[in-house]
Amino acid sequence: MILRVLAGALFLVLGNGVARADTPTVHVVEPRSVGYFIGDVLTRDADVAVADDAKIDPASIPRPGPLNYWLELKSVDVDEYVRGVRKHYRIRLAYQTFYAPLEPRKLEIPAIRFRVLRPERESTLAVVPSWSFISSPLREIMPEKNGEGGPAKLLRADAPVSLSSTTLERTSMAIAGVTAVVALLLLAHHLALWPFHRRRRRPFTQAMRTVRREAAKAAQSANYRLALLALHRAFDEASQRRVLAEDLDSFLVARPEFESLRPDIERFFQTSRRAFFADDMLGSRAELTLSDLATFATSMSECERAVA
Amino acid sequence: MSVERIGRPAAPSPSEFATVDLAHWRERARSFERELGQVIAGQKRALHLMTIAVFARGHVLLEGDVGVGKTTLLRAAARGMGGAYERIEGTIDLMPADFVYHTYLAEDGRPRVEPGPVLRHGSDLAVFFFNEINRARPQVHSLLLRLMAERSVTAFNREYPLPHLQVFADRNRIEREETFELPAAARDRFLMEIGIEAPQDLETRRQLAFDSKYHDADALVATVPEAILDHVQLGAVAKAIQHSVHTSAALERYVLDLWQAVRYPQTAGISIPGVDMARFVQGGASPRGVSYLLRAARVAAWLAGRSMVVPEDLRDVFVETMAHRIFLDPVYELRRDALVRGLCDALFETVAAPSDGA
Repeated sequence: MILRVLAGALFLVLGNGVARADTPTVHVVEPRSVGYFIGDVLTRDADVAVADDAKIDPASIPRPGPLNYWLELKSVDVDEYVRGVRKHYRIRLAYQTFYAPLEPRKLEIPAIRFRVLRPERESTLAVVPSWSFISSPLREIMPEKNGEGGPAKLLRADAPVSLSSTTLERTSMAIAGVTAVVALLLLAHHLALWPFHRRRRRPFTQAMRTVRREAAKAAQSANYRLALLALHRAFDEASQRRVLAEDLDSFLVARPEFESLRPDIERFFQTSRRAFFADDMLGSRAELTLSDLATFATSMSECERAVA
Repeated sequence: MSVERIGRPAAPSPSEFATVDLAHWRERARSFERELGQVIAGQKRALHLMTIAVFARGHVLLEGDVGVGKTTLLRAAARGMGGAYERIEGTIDLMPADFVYHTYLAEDGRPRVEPGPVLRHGSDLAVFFFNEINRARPQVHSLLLRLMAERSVTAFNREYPLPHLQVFADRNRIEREETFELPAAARDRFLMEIGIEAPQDLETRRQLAFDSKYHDADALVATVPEAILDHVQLGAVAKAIQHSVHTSAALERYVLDLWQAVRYPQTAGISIPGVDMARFVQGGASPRGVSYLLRAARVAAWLAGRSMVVPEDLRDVFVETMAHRIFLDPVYELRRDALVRGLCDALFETVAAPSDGA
């Protein structure tokens, strides 16, 4: 008999244990239930114990967001740990109330149902029950009857606005601005960008303009002389030294783009020699006219531009 | 004391120039240069300048290392020019009298004075070669000055004209001990100072070292045909060249610009690294120097077959005719060669030809 009683008791204990192990249990640590104002945050800690092979369906965990017009679920933190044969979920739910009651009022946070899944079993529910708290008004709505005070009495005066000094920020910004501008200028100079970019000089193009201008005038030895000189100076500038007739080879080595014009350049130098050093200006004008010179200058200028 | 003037030929009249066949003489000049080139290897430029000097009737100072062929060059040139040749070695105890007089004790025991090296050949003397000129004393230099400037010498109480004389001198630039620097006046009377360097070209060097032709200088000089040029006519030819080669107004302007720039390089915008241009050139570039420059340039133009002087001719002869006439601040004197050459190069890179001015 005693054995039967003992066996019965053992069965009950074990059966109960098995039943406890199977059924999820929820233990909630609530915050204080009174003394809340609009904007306060309430934190509920729920401890859900489930069987070790069970788990809470993640889809049943509520997502943070507004629950109704005055209550918002700010955050849900879920921690998992194992104690004994059970698996525990520590779920921290933070609510914020936006309810503005005119007098102390009881408000209710709705229950949450977690679905607990277990392999090869039906899912069960673990319920965090609804919970009530009392929210208080922020201030007295009705002014005092005796007419004293007024809105000034009702509201606490705002803290005076203090103007913080921005001198440091403004100075730093000015220094940074100047530094940036200087740095950009230096960079532009280094990369030879505008305004430091100087286009490669085109002496022959310049000479071409002079020669054409002279060619447009009446044909005279003075014009012819100026045209020849303009071309000579262009040769000088193009090779950064004075170029004489015999320097033609070294000139063409330094500026190979003019190689195709070698016969013309030779002819120019021969004519110039005749004009300046044999005092035969008329003869040279007959040999190479001003318009020939203009054509020559144009082709030199074209060669020059083709490279630049 | 009366000094008798004998045998000085009168200056040729312009009509005489017409009788000189300059084209023919140009061929002779070129063959002279060519023949010398057969004997003297790797000195093309020196030979060209030498030919110019011969036809400009100017005296030449050769400068260079020992054993680069200066003497052989002069001997070959003298042989090619024809006429009598004399040489004298500069020594510290050489006196002016040693030039003109030869003193000795005759067989009868009495002292005799006879014409010395300069007078020995009379007016036929064509080439006088003064070896190691800087070893002789200044009083010798001053006699030489007269000889070069006037082509005459006074001896035995009369004046001996030496109308065909051309003086070649040689200066060893390695040794400085027991030497007397040539006075500026003497240097100014040389038409050219030609530097003779050992050839840099490997093939020429190999020839000079291994070709037995170059081992015997006497035999080598003997291969030059005698009297390719006629020293008696050279004077007239030289005058005809100077007369026939044209210098234009533009060239005159260019020479004047060069002259101004060499004297005042800083105003011409010339700068040489590490040199204070304001004090660099102290003097020199004498009018005689510039006239010599043009003389040489005319001959260069003529040799190139031109009837006009062009800037290239001036550039061709400028260093040799002008560099020794530029006097530098003493601070720069030790680096003279490189600096003056730099100045000359800068001149031709800076001075405009033809000039923009009228």
